Amino acid sequence: MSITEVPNQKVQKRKTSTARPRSGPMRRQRRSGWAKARMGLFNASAIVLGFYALFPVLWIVITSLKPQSQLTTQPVTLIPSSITLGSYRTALGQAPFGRYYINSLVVSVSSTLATLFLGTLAGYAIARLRFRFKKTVLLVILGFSFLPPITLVVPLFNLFRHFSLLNTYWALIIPYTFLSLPICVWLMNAYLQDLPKELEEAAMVDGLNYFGAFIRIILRVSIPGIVTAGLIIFATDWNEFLLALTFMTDNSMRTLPVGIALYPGQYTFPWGIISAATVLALVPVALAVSVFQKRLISGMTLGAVK
Amino acid sequence: MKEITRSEPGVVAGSAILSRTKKRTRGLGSRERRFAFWLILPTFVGLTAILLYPSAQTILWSFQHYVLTDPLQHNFTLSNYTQLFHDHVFWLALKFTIFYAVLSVLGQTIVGLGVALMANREFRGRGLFRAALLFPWMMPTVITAVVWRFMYDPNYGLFNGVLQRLGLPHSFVWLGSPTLAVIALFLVAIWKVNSFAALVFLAGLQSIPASVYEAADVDGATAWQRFSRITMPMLRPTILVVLVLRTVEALQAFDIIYGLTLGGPGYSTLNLPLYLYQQAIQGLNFGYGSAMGVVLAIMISAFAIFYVKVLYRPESLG
Repeated sequence: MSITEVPNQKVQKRKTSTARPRSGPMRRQRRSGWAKARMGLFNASAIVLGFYALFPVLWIVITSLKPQSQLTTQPVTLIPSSITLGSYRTALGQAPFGRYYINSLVVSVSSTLATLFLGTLAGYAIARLRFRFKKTVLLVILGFSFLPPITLVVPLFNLFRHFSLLNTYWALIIPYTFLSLPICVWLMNAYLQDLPKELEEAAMVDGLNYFGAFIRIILRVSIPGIVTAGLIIFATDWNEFLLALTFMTDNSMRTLPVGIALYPGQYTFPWGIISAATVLALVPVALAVSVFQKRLISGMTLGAVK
Repeated sequence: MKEITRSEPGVVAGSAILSRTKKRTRGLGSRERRFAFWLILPTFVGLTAILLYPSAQTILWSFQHYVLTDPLQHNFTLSNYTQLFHDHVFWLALKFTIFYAVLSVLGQTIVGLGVALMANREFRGRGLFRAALLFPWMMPTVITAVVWRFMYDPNYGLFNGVLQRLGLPHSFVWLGSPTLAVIALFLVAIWKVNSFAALVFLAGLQSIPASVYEAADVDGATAWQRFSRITMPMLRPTILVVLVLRTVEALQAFDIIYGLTLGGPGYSTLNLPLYLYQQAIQGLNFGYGSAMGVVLAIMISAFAIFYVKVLYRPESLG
């Protein structure tokens, strides 16, 4: 969408092409020497910064593969002499992380789908239909995203207690759906606005009404936007902690983040198992990052740059 | 002759479409509005029921003595607020909330800006570098905190282990002393968010037109001049957006502190959201928790208003 590397390439190309003939050769020579040194420096610092961003993840992966005996050595074993999948087996078998995983999946997938459904409808209306007070409607919807979840915890807890929804999937699906909805409307609105106006007109000439045009034409072309919004919303729901901690008090209903966070309290320092569970929790996220990197970045930065 | 007759149906059809669309547009205006109304309605109903109504309840309860273990009293009272005023833990939590929000966001922004300036250069493996940047942001916050708590472990943790291997002092109880715990918390907070800031800044950097830099080059500007006279001013709106959005979020930080220190040692890393949680959910004092929620919401809306006032001016939107 909005992220391209074109501007940079332009800078590079034009720099060389606009070099003035007088000082041209000398400058170019100096620059290439400089550039080489600078390039080296940049590569080195990029590696350092990349390592800084990744080392906790690396460390968790290493720990999850360590045999039990090397988990509690002093000083710590940086590179284990042998690796084992024992921790993973324990995490999924004896410890209830498999159950947590299913809970997380059910809650995140259903609430993401619900948010996308409502958000696409509203986003479409705001982006492409003509009606009065459109800006106000969008601003009011966005305003909802400023309501701090922490102030919602107590009344929602009370509400769900009243309807006996605590420790059911509904207790998380309902709030997740609506907490992500403002950002979803915003993203879909931004995406749909950029589509050519002729799409509906063409559909209408073909005899479709607004609803038909929306279902047959708009939905189909907005799939990339829906995927981007869906990924961001899924990641938010998958990572949510506060509500999951509060509304799911029953151990068998815990989501993965809550299960991992509360696990050390039950036994003493089972770091191998916790690391294995953490790695498993990161798998969907890592997959999303590697497959949809560009989309994710453009979606994330859309709100802040536009 | 043949050609003309052949074209006649087309002309007729064309004018028919024209007149039909003309007729339609009048009817369509209201039909379009009605369609838009039905599309937006579910969103509004849901947001009102699930977000707005509970918020209103929070305000109401903050003026009631509402403890789940006591019989409910509907009388209007200011006791929650007077109790807050005399609660020294509340003041400690309030101070730490602001301290944490300001310093962590500052750290995230500065480190993020450095990373973004770097990632804006051409180098091999740049795509990989950016993917690496996405990782900390995509990781569940509470799991991030747990992972770092593990690395801070005084006996089996990574940090003390590496220090020991390097022959340096290595017996830090990272999360055991107030000062170290606060520093440890900031390190995690900066690690978690700086890359998000960096990605946003990067998008901002790439929207600066190349011609501006070219012009500066022709005028013989130094690297520092280009940075301070072009990059910074043009990035200013993006920086402000990041600063304020992250501050609003940092004022509500819960997961990271819950996972790392639980507010300890003592009250040294206790912030308002965590104290609210302890009072309202663990202590079942809904009224008291609600009063704290109101205070927090006021702080956050102050920032939100600042956000609208300072940032949504047309000239700063560029």
